[in-house]
Amino acid sequence: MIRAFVFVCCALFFLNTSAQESVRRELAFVRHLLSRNELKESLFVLERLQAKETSLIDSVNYYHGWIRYQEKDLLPSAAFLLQVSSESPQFVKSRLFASYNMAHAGLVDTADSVLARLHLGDSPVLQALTNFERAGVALLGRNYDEFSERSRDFSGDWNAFALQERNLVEYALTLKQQPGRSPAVAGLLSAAVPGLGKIYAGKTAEGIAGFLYVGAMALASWDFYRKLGSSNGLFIVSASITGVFYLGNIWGSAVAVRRLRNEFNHEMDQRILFDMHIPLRNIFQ
Amino acid sequence: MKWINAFCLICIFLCATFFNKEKVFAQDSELQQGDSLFAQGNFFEAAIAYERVYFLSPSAEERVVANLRKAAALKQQGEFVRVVSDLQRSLPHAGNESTQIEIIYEMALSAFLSGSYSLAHSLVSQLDYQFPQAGLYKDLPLLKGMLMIKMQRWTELALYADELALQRQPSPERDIFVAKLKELLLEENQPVQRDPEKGRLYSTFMPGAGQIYSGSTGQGLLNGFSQLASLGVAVAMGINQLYFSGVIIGLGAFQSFYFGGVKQASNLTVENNLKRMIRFQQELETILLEIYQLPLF
Repeated sequence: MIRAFVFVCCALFFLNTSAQESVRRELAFVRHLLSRNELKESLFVLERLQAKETSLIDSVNYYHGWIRYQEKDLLPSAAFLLQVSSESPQFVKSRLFASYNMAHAGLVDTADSVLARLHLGDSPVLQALTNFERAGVALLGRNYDEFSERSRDFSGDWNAFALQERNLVEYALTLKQQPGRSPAVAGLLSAAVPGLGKIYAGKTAEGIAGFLYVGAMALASWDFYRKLGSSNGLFIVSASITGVFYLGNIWGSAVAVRRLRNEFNHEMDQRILFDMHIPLRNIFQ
Repeated sequence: MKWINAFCLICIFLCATFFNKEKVFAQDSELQQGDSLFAQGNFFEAAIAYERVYFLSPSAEERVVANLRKAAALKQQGEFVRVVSDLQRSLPHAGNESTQIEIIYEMALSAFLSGSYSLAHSLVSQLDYQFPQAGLYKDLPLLKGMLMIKMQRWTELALYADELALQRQPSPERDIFVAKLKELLLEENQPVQRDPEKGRLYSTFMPGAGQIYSGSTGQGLLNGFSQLASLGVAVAMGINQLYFSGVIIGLGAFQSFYFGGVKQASNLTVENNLKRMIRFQQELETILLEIYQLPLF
């Protein structure tokens, strides 16, 4: 009876080992597909794997996250990467990339909390990298106090991100010095002189064009009024168009300030994200 | 009893270990699985199955077979660029001539289908040079002709039509098609390729002339009329002492029509050249196909 039990246990053990061995082999195949940049195919193979061992589950999650990251599907990528356990050799990489993905998707607080919970042991380069990433995340959230605290630890000793450290400090300065323009002031300026609001917003060419359009239409309307009188159809049409142009210019100036501010912030965010990305790719090739 | 027990337990052990369906990694069965998926029309999964064989098989020959079948699955998915890069890796391992011919032919065909005509042409030339005996391989003669059409090699095509005709049984149909093809290829019947710069220049000095030169008479007349009308409005306003309005509305509209017309003339010339060429190529392709489909000797 005991012998039978031992045999059945052995059989079950081999059954499981064999299944997990096939998962391991499929993971090697996934790596091969990834090396050929066949992302859709790798994802298809991964989705059909039933890993039971922790190390295999970690690998499946890691590859899932990595493929999604390459497909620029950032939030699902972060979700998979966060499931990689601390026993995996890919743990630190997964956490750092998950945090980066979340920062890129605008979830700066979550990105920071992922980095804050990351225990790196005594690897000075990884500690410096995490500090750098947290500084980047703070800057993305426009948390200047947090950034200056983190940037105090920038040593410039690590070639992989020394330049990026300097860049972040420069971006922080540029962001702080960003001119605070008001949409209301732009609107008022355009009401006084058509196009002036746009020049105030920083769109000089648009401002001059706006002035010429409104001015030309106003001149034409005045011409019609002078020769044909106020009840003439041509004057009414021309004056209405001038009015629309004039009001549109005021509205456009107010919007231009907001648009310019958004453009500036977007550009700065892209630069910060770019600089946060380079060391990750350099260190975890 | 003891032996029966032992026998049963060994059976359980063997069944449990070897009846696990995931363990089957024999490359033959993977190839068959790929074939079955291909037959079902599931080309995506078939391509994966073939790639798995390519990855796992220790036999170079089997890898080439799997790669060629994968190429067929990719072609069905319209992924012609990938076919070329995938087959490239098998070329150094293709053992015999016929496999090499098949690989190069498939690469050339896929390059043609993906619109990389110069690559397709260089692959066809490679076939001609390395394997002159492959002249009639699959649809290679048709591919050659189609490439000549796409690359606008008219003199070469006229000579090639004779070559194709010689491979076919003599018939009045054959002679008619060849004569028709050759007639189309005469210089006076080839589509006129007008110069966009000339089109632009004509419209600069004579409103609408560039559009008419490009072949769009209607658009040329419309543009010329619009410019005249806007100029007329400006003059009429000036006569009525509406000077500002005349300049702003009349001349404003005129300059829009004028500069727009100049630009349009140049664009239309390019567009119409392309249209004429596509129409001409389609005509040639139809005739070439007719010749190609005639019975061989």
